[in-house]
Amino acid sequence: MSKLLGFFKSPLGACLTLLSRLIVATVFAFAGWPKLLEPDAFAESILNYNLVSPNAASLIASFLPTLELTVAASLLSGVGARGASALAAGMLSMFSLAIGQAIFRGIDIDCGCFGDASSSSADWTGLVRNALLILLALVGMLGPATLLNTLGLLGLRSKSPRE
Amino acid sequence: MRSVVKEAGVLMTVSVVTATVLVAIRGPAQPTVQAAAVCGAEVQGSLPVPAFLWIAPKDAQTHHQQGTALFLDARSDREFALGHIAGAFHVSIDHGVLPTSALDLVRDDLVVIAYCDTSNGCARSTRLAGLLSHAGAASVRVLEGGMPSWIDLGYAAEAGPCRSCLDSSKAP
Repeated sequence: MSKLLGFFKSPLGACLTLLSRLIVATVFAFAGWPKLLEPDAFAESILNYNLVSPNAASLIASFLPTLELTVAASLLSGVGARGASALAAGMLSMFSLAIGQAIFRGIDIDCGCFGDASSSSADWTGLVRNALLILLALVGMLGPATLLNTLGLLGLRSKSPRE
Repeated sequence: MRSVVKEAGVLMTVSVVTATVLVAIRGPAQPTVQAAAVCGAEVQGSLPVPAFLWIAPKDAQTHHQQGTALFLDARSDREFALGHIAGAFHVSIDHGVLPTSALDLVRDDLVVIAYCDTSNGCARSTRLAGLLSHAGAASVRVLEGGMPSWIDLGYAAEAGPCRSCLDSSKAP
């Protein structure tokens, strides 16, 4: 484990972390923004999973987009990026469980992953995409704490303030 | 690890506060439609319409004389008994199902001509023609003007109950 953590303190590890956080942040930003603009449509998508009541769907649709966008902003800015990566991994795991149960129950629905911006079924493709993103989020968790640390490890900043 | 949990907690708090403000401004999300659990997709464009053509009474009469058409009467038993095109078969589709015996009569060398009266734009005959086309009949026509037109033109007709009724209620 210490070897792995050591790798993420190397320039290559820092570069990998930065890239991972960038990818996860981009996906979360593109996923969160349409949902924030169209919360009603997102609530419908949640209801289609047949997992929660309309009130719960309304609550999730009201709060999840801001969480996704907060995570994206955090990952992009590097402020609290490890915590944001952990949240991203947690959310992606929940999304995967929802998609998995839809596949298991044979419910053919739009996954609602990107709001109304794009349509994709809740199927194996979504699960694979989420698995890759979870992997990237975990990489984001192991890397340097802040963007300044990352840049320092990459030699783009003369002195790292914390590490 | 502790710092990760702390950061996550701060981020969640920030997002909850932001969301609460948004909800206060524009209200909570309201799913407008209770979408179906399965097959929830919207209908895209127009649905396929079974292909059939209309046929003028004069052309139908020519086929009738040459014996190159199969006439199928889509009206009620009573209407059929009162008068129908000579040699026509009565096909009941009251149950929305095409009797398999009707399909058995269809041959590639015969033009299938469905007819009824003129109510609702010959609705029953167009429906019968649609079912036949959907079932694979290649050459299906609907008689323009239906039975009233046929009678008015003085073409061959006969009365009496059907000799071979094709009833969808007896379909498998």
